[in-house]
Amino acid sequence: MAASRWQQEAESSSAAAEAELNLVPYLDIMVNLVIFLLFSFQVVIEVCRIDLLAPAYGEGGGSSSAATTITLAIHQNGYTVLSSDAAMGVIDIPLKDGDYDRDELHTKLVDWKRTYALPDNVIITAEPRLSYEIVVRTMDAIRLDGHSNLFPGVTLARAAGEVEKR
Amino acid sequence: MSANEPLSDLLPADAHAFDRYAGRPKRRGKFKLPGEEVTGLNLTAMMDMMTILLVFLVKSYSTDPERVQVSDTLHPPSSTSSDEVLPAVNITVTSEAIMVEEIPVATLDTLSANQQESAFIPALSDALTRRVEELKELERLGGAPFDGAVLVVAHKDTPYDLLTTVLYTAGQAQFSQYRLLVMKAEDKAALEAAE
Repeated sequence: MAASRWQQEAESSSAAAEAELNLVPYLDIMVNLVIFLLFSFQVVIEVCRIDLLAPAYGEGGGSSSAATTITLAIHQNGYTVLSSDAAMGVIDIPLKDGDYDRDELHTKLVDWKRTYALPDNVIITAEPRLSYEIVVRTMDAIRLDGHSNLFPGVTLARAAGEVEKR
Repeated sequence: MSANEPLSDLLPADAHAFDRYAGRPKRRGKFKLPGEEVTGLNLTAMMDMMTILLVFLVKSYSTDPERVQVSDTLHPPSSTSSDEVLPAVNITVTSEAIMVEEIPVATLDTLSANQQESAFIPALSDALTRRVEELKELERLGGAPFDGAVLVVAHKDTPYDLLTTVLYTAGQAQFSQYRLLVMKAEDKAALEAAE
């Protein structure tokens, strides 16, 4: 009788030692978490930033500094580059095959910058309904010249008539 | 055995012998090694897989400073810029609405009617002003200083006048550093290829 009880106790302790942790509830939680994360997982895209210079909504009338101001106008017919120095003239770059000729714009501005030793800033103005994408592509075209800066400092502005409405 | 022998003589003496044979205890199969017999599903391998998946997904969440949910209404343009995105107050301009820190403040349908009169968006200004006050209060309590930086995330087809209006309104709400969030050019190409 005593031997039998000892045998039962030994068997029960052996069974407890061999019992495995019940992973099913933990697995339920994991599956639910993975499904939630997979559904809420968005397409991961790499983004970057473009810095803008704060626009100066002043009274206008010209700058007192000697630095030449370059203004790039984007319109339906292409680009027009203006300068505060009248001697530099005006650059008109028409559309090429229905699209803005950014290569020509880049080439002309590189020439201007080398010839007249211009500052790094430029003012961009565009027609009101022009898309943001065109503006960004234009900024890409004039930001760098190879590894050196061309016109990295961009200020977005409105045409004088648009500002006066405000 | 002759051909004239009666058929009954061919039956075995015990007529139930076949039944006993069919009902006999079946022979056990071949000898099985310990552990060969499947007694329960082993979940350890599945647990490993789930844990790896979970860690990957959580890590993807935590290392993404600026999450842009690209959709039909918000698809930023691509750019060759390589400057990394810095934290700032977010203004999102989709093709339907303007949001500040993911909270809609104005819809473009109502805005287009009012915008004829003014190039200033009062609802956006109010939301930005509230946000500035919150940031300044945080700064007073020892948080990060308010640097006046705003990050504009705009749809690629956003009209130029709306973009400048948003920037002007942000300027009126004491923001002085403007940043545009754009997609890296190679990523946009990959995304369009996937679509």
